[in-house]
Amino acid sequence: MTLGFILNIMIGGLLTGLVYGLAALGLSVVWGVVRVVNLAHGGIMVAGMYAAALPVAARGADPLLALPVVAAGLFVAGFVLQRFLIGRIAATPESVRLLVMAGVALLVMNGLLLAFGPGGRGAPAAGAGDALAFGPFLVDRLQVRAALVALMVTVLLFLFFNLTGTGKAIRACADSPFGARVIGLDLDHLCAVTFGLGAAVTGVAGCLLAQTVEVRPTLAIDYTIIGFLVVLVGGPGSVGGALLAGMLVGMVEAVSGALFGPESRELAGCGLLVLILLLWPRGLSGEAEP
Amino acid sequence: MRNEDTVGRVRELAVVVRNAVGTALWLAFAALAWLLNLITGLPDRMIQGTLDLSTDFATAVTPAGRGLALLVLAGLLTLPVWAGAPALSTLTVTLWFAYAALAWNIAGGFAGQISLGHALFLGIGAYVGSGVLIHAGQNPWLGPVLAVPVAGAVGGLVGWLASRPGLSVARFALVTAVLAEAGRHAALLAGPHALPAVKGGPALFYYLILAMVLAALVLSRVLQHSGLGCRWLAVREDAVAAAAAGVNVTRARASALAISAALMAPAGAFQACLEGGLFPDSLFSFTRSFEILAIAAIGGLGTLFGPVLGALIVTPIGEMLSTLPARMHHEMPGLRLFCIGALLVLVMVLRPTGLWLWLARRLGLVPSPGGGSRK
Amino acid sequence: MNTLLVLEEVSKAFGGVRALENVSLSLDGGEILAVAGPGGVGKTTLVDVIAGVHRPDSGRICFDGRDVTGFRPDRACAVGIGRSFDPPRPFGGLSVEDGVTVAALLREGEMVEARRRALEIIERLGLAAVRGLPAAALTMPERRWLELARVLATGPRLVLLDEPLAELSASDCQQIGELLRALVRRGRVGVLLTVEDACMVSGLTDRILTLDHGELVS
Repeated sequence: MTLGFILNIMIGGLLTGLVYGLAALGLSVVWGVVRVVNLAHGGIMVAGMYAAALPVAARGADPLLALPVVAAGLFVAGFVLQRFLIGRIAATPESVRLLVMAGVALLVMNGLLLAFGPGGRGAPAAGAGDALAFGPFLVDRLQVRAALVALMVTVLLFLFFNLTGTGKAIRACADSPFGARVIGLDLDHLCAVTFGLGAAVTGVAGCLLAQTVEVRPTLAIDYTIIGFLVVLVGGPGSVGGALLAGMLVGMVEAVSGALFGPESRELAGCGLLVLILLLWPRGLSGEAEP
Repeated sequence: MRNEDTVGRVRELAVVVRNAVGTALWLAFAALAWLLNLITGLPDRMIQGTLDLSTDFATAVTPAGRGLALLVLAGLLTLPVWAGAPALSTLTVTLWFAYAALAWNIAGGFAGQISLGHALFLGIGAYVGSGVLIHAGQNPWLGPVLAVPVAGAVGGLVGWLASRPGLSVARFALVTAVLAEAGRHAALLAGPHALPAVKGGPALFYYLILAMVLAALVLSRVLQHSGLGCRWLAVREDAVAAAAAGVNVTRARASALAISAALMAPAGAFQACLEGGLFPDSLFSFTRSFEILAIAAIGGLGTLFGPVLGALIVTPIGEMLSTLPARMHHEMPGLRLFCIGALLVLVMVLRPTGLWLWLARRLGLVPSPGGGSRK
Repeated sequence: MNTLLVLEEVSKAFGGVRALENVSLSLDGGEILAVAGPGGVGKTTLVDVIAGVHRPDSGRICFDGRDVTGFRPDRACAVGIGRSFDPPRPFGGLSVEDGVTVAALLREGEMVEARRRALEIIERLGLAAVRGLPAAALTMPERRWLELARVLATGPRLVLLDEPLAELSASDCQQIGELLRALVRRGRVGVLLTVEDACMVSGLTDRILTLDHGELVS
C-alpha cells in the first residue's frame, strides 16, 4: 500500500466530502436561523437522489439535468413545511420541536419506502468510472464534477447571504430573532425561505451523490447520520465549519474504508466525532449555541 | 481409556478456564461501571434523598383511577388464562414497547434529554447479555444482570460526551444518534448470531415483561421524587437557572442517560431471546429508537403512565398495519412507521404534553390541576 | 471586617462590545453594595462574571480569599455565591416548592430535609400561599420573591441580586430591604445588588457604585 494510493483515496474522500459539506450546510443554516434541527435531513437527500435517478432510468439523461427541478421542488416543500407546521411550534420547548422533527423524519423516510419500495435503483450516469489523471493522481470524473457543482452552490449561497437583502435579513434573524422582529422583519417568511433553501441545498447534494451511488430508502439513515456528524464536527450555524468538517469526514471515512474495509467507515467517522467532542465540544468553528 | 481420561480432563479444564474468563470479564465490567459511577457521580452521591413519601401513588390518583388500575392489573395478570395465543403475543410486544418507552422517558421525559439513539442500549443489552450465555455458558439470567451495568456505563459515557458544557439539547440528540449508528456498525463487524432457544412458553415471556413494566413504573416513581429526579426536572425546565441553583448540569444529564440506558439493557436481552438471535440491524435499528421515543411522547413526556398508554395505543395499531397488508398479499413496508410518524406529529402539535394527562383528566383518573389554585 | 469578594481589573468583551472594562471592587461581609446604572451598561455581565456564567477575558475574582475566576456556575454556587436572574428564570413547569427544593438540595443531602428547608424559606418570604402552583403561573413580584427564595435556599455567603427591586411596589421593596439587612447583620454574608436608579436603594445599601459603559465611576 503506497503513499500514492492513500493520497488518491484521500482526494476521492475530499471530493465526496465537499458534497457532504454542502448537504450539511442545509442542516446547519436551518439550525442557525430557524433553531430547529432538520432530522429529516437524510430523507430529503434521498428524495433528491430519487428525483435524479428517475429521468436517468427513463431516458438515460444526465442526472444533473434534474438539479434545478429538485432544488425548486424541495424549496417549495421546505417552505410549506416551515410555514404550516414548524413555524407553529416555534414557541415550544426545544425537546418538543425535536420530537416533531422526529415525526417528520419518520414520515419522509417511510414515505420514500412506501413510494419506491425497499429495492435499490442504480443511476450509472454517462461517464461513470472515467478517471482523470492529474500528474500521479487519478480521480473519478464524476466526483470532480459533483465537487465542483457543490462548491459552486456553496459560493452562490454565500453570495446570497452576504449580498442580497433577503440574505442579510436572514443573517440578522440568526443573530437575534428578537432584534429582527423589532426592526420589522417578517420572521415567519424569512424562516420559511431559510427552511426552503436548506431543503433545496440538501436535495441538490443528494442529486450529486446519486451519480455514483445506488439509491435505496435505507440510505436516508446513513446520510442523516453523516449530516449530523458533519454539523457536530463543524459546529452548527457556520458555513466554513460545515464545508471543512464535510471534507474532513469524507477523507477520514474514505481512508478508513480503504484500510480497514467498508464497515469501518462509520466507525471512523464516529471516532472523529468523539475526538472533536473531547477537544472542542462546540465543534471546529467553536461558536456558541445558535 | 487413558486417552478418554485426558480428553475429559482437558474438557474440565476448559470449563474452568471459560468460567474464570467469564468471571474476570464480569469483574472488569463491574470495575468499569464503578469507575464511571465515580466520574459521573451516579447513584449514591446523587440519589442522596431517595424517597420522599409526601406525595405517593395514593394521593396522585383519584379513587376512580385506583379502581381502574386494579382492574387493568387483574386483567393483565390473568391474561394467559383467558386470552388466545395471538393476543398474548401482541400484548407481549406491547408491554415490551411500554417498558422501552418507560426507560426512554427517564432521560427524555424527566431530564428533557431527547435521545435519538436508545437502540444502542438495546443492542448492548442483547450482545452483552447473550454473549455471556453463548461464550461463558453461564446461567441465562446472569446475562441481563451483567448487561445492565455495562449499558449504564456506556450510557453515562455517551451522556457525558453529549452534554459537555455549552452543548444544547439538540446537540445531545444528534450525538446519541451518531453513536448509536456507530454501535450498529460495530455489531455488524461482529455479525449476526443465532441463540439457543430459551426454555419456557410464551406465558413465561409475558409474565417476565409484565414484571419488568411494573418494576420500571415503580422505579420511575421513585426517581421522579428523589433528589436526582428533582435536579433532572430543574435541568429540563431551565439548565442555566439550574446551574445557578448549584446543580451540576453535565452530571445530571449524563446520569439521566446512564440510568435510562441501564434500564434499556434488559429489554434488549429480552428482544434477542424473543427473536431467537442477535441481528444487528434489528437490535441497533435507527428507526427503533424513533419508534420508542414516539410511543413515549405520544403517551406523555415525563408522565408516569404516559409511555404505557402510548404503547397500548401505538403497538396494536402498528401490528395491525403491518399484518393487514401482508394478509391481503400486498406488502407495504414502511406503512407502520409512516403512521406512527404522522401520529407523533399530530399529537406533538395539538397536545405537546401527550395523551395521558389529557385523557386521565377527562376520565377523572387523576385530580384536575385546579387543586392547588390561588386563593 | 472580613473581605468577602475582591474583583481585580476584570474585563469582559462580547465580540467587539466591551461589557466590562477593568472593574475593581471589594465587598465586605455584612455589607450591602449596590451597583447602579441604566440598562445595557454591563450590570448583568458583572453578575454573570462573578457567578461563573462567563469567564472574564482578564482580571481576577477572589471570593473568601480563594481565586474563583472561571468557576462553572454550579461550582460558584457550591462555594457560596448565590445569584438571581433578571428577568426572573423560574422553573416554569415545577411548583414553587419543588423549584426551591432543588436549590436547597445543594446543602441538604436528604430530600426530606431539603423540602423542610425550602418550606421554611418559602414561609419566610411570604410565598406560602402559592407554594403548590407551577412557577409559570406566578405574577412578576412573586417571581422576584421566588428568585430570592432560590438564592437563599443555596445557603450563600455572597448574594448577587440582579435587579431585585424592578417592578416591585414600595412595600415589597421595603420588605426586601429589611430581609437583606437581617441577612447581613451577623457580618457573615455580603450582598451585591444591581439597580437602574440609585435613588431606589439610597436608604438600603451601605455603598452605591455607578457603572458606566463597563467602567466603574464613583
